[in-house]
Amino acid sequence: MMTDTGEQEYTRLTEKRVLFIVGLILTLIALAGVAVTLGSANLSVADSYVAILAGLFPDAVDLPDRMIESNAVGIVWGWRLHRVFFGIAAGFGLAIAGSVMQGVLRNPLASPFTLGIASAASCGASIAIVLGAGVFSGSLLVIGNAFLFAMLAAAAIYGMARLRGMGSEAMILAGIALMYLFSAITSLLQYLGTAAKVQEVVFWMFGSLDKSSWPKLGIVTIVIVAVIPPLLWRAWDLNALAEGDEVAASLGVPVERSMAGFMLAASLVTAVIICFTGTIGFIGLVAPHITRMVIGTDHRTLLPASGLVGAVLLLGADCLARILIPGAIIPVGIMTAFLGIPFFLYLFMRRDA
Amino acid sequence: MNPSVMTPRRSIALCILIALLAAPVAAANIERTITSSGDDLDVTLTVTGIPVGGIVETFPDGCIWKETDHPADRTRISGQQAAFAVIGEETIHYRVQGPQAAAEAFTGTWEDLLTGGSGTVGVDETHDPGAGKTPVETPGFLPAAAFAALAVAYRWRCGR
Amino acid sequence: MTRRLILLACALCLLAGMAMAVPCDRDGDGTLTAPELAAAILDSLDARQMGGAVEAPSPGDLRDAAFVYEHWDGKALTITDTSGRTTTLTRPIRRIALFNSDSLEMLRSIGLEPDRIVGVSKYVLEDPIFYPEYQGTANLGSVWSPDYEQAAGVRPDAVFLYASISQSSCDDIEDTLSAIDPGIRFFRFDSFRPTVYADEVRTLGLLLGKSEDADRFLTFYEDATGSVAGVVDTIPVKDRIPVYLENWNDYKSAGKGSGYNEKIELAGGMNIFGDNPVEYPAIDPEAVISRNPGVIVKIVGSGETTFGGYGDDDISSFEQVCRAISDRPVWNQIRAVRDGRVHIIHTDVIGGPEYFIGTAYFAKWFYPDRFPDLDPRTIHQQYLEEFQRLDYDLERHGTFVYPA
Repeated sequence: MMTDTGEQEYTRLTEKRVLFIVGLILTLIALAGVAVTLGSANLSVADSYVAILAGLFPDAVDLPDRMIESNAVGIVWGWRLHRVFFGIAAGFGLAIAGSVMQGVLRNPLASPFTLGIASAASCGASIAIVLGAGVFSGSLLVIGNAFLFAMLAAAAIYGMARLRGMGSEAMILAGIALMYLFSAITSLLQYLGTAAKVQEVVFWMFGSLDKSSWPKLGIVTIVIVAVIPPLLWRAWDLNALAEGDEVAASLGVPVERSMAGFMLAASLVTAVIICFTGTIGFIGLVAPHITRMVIGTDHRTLLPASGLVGAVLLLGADCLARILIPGAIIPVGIMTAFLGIPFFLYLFMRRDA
Repeated sequence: MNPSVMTPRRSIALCILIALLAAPVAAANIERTITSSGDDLDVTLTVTGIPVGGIVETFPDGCIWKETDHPADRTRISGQQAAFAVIGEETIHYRVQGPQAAAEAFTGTWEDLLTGGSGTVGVDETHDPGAGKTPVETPGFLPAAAFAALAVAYRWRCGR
Repeated sequence: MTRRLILLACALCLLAGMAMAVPCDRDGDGTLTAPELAAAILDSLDARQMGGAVEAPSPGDLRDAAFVYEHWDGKALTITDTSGRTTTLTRPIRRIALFNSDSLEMLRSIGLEPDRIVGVSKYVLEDPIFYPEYQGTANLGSVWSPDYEQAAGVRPDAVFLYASISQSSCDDIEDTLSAIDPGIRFFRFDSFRPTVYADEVRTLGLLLGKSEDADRFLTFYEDATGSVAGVVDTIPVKDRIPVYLENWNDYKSAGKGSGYNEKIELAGGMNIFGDNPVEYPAIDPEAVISRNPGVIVKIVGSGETTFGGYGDDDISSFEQVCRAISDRPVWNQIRAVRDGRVHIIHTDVIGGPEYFIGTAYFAKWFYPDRFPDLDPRTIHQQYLEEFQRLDYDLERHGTFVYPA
């Protein structure tokens, strides 16, 4: 009797998860289809799709004159398309990174932002913009600095936590300390910098998909493809870690190594994304929560599902950001911050949050 | 730099002077003057404000092309039409053989290749039919040297 | 495989070279001579109006050839912009998109027709009084937040960006727009820095076939700046008057790297905080008292003091600011306040391409005895009427300085 209802429960849960994931994929495709048609250029919806086809099969498609004049193919392939894919990839990566961090640290408020990684990236970008100093030069100056500083923060958290034992409290404390340190440095640089440079820093920190390009999308995709599958392979370890260090150790999970590995993977994915986009917040925080509410905390399905939720959230926020004020593009980081508010209010209102 | 000072009077004078210098940017225009000399009609096109352009003159049936003082590589004749490439010239003379009455039937269009403007060749109301005095001094063509000097002078004014 | 690649590269270079040829240059020697131009004109007229069967150049090619012949001596033009980048052009640029509104003002000074501008920054559109003829032009956003779809949609053949500020944002704009339309040429000009001002005017005049107008404007500009520089150069350094400059926020001065410091020095003053490395340092009010400047200048028009300029006709806010400075505690000890030499000036005439009007005002305020005939207001009026082509009467409108 018990096993029957148990099995039924399990089947229902599995069905729910599958439906959820399939639903997310379909929503994502639909959203991408809409996102490609959004923009202030004079292209109709049909024109956008024709332009996509024309880019793929240039010889097969006969473009009408108005589309050649308006450079529809250039706009869609040179500006819109990679931005849409980048939004999907970035949302996917940030959400998974957030889920991993929350699992490892056993803290639902953990995210790349509360751990100071984003502040470190902002600091690196400020140093590059205001002082012109950085490891790489030219167009990689700001990006390289942001990435390096983010990884520096991750390494610092790891180092500091090892000193006090790899407990989750240690990591969170270290993260918060780093966040304050890097914010202070960024503020100092803003004071010292010229007005124009401060403007640049502020806009960088808003977080936007404007700077995406096909090469950058390639880099982010490669990193995600390299890092996420091993992560999924080890998702069961994450389940164990979520129960507690002792429980995990008794289950045979190498606790310290696993925590370090997971944090490294999550930090790497986060760093490579925000060095290109600036600081986009709340995706890593909100997406895992939403997913957990629907399909529970089994990380084997939680990770990919929250990745999809993150992609839908980020792409949806970007679409909203582009149509809300005609003629202006609100940076997507501002839009995601706004979207986080109702979510947190909802959490606050729930009795069993 | 000499320490000149811009008194109000001087600046006004400067304004007037600059306005005068700026004035020659006249509206683009081409006028046609036809005088009759014997069997022939002498046509003078006066070009104003078109440093680089093209003119197509159409002369009526019964008129036969004779000659022009415009450089041969800037002139093209085809049937009853003559095309002129204007590069710095201010006047173009050409001669066709035809009756006096045909003078009214000349038409022409011009294009200004720097501004993109175009128009029809206007008729200069002050033309003097049959007076016998023609603008063409020497039989046929203006001396090439004088013409070249005119072109050089025009170019100097354009600041090239 | 390598051989094929080399062959492909050669073919591409050849194609690029052909595209880069001077239009209508038949013998391909890189110079469009008068006979070649004439032949092109005649072929075009022949084909279009005389029923000829010749192969004629397109109207676009012909017009470009006419421009190159008339303005660039029939050859390709190589110019270097303020960022040091060299560009070679074989055709004129006809559709200009500008992210730099200072450059737009400079282009207007050299007589550029408004219909050659196809896109402007949002700051231009927010200023209908100063830029009335551009109000219908496409809005490209700003350098930090550009609208790429608009910028690409207006199909510019040239995009103008800043040379020495916001370089990474300008780089991003270049990278993204090049990816959308590789044919766009990029030029970086500042149009607000005194040291490169004259060179930029000349370069822009050459680039746009407006050399005559550029020279005319330069005569005016060099007269206005020269009449100040000539006198300033004769003032020995020890006699230069110490000046306290405050920007639009209280107790923020201008330090070593800032443009205002440079302009004070051009007018012969000595910035009492000119050794501070920060652009707009927060200063200690007591330091001002102890350094005892002879003149105090405050800049308004931004930050805490967003009034004045072309759109404002009411001078009372300037008077208030002036009084407030004089009323600051213990500041009546400063000789500038005692002698009544506190002046307010608006960013419109001291920043941007009109800076030389502001420097003229500075000179007059720093050394009234040495510049008895200098009249910055007349210079300003001439600039507006003759070069900016604005119907704006300074007697009745605009608040830029107090007291004059």
